[in-house]
Amino acid sequence: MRTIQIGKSGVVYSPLAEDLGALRPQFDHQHYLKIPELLGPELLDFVQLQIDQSEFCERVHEGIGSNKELCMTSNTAFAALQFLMNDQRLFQVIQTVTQCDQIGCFQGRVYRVNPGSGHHDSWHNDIGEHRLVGMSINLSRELYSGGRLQIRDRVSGEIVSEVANAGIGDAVIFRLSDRFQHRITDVEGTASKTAFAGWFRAQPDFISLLRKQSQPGREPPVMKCSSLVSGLKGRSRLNMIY
Amino acid sequence: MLANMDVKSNQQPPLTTVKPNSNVLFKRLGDETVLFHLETDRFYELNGTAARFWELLHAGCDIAEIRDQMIQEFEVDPEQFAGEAETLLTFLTQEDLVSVDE
Repeated sequence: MRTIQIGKSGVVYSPLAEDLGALRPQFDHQHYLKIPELLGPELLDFVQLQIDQSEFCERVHEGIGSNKELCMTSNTAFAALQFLMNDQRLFQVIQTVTQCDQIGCFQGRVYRVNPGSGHHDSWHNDIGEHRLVGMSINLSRELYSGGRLQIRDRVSGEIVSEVANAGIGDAVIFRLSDRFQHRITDVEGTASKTAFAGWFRAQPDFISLLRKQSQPGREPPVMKCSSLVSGLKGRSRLNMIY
Repeated sequence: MLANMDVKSNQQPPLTTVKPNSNVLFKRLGDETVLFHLETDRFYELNGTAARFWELLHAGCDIAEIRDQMIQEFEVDPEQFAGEAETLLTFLTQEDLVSVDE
């Protein structure tokens, strides 16, 4: 079933409410849901071309034991993905399927895992910072082996779900909970895994997130444009310029 | 150039066509709209009234149509609108958010 697709100009199509209802038990049972072709072909081409020219830096995540990956430096592909994933219709789909609290923003990163380079992930739960639901979108050029999402019961250690997300442009959303931990298994073979991954968060909202991502020495990430037309009906007088 | 955009008169047809740059993404977030320029990697935040201007532009309206529509929707006289629209269009053009065809 087609779930939702996002293209270069935004949401291309989104599901009917009754179709979403059918996906809820699936998420409840598996603790994840695959969203095939979340990225439309034009957006995927654009992003992959940008990624091909991008720099990646090795990164070890704080708070996660022995986790290592390559992380793409911030660029247009990242900004476009972040912009497009912060969409109210996507948020509505995620909220309906997962029954999570109201989503304020999606915050992600583009990472790459090369086989045989010591890149790996450890069990963790990503809880905190108002994170509600995880999501990973496959941006890899080639079909990779391994790199599967595993979810386990935190107390018993039993693996309750495992899924590969090897379809290019496909997404997996997964539950974040104190009850569970997750990890990505090692990538094997020769092909790398590249993904845009992150969390739907209750706070902040997207505009606040953009403002917070301002870095010293760089231009502000958001420029406020001159406003238009003071004296809006039914509202207080607006400033001519922000 | 912007003086020829015919934001002041409703007697003459527009002399120029203003179109949103196809490499600019936009979305409404509550009362505001955020634009993202795919080539310059910059975000822009429009308030509610500037957002309405952008929406009408994106819907294919020319400047005269936008003026007529916004004068109906907002408490603004044509002269005030003309001045503010010109300021906004100058900004949008400088930032390559719109293209202007003579």
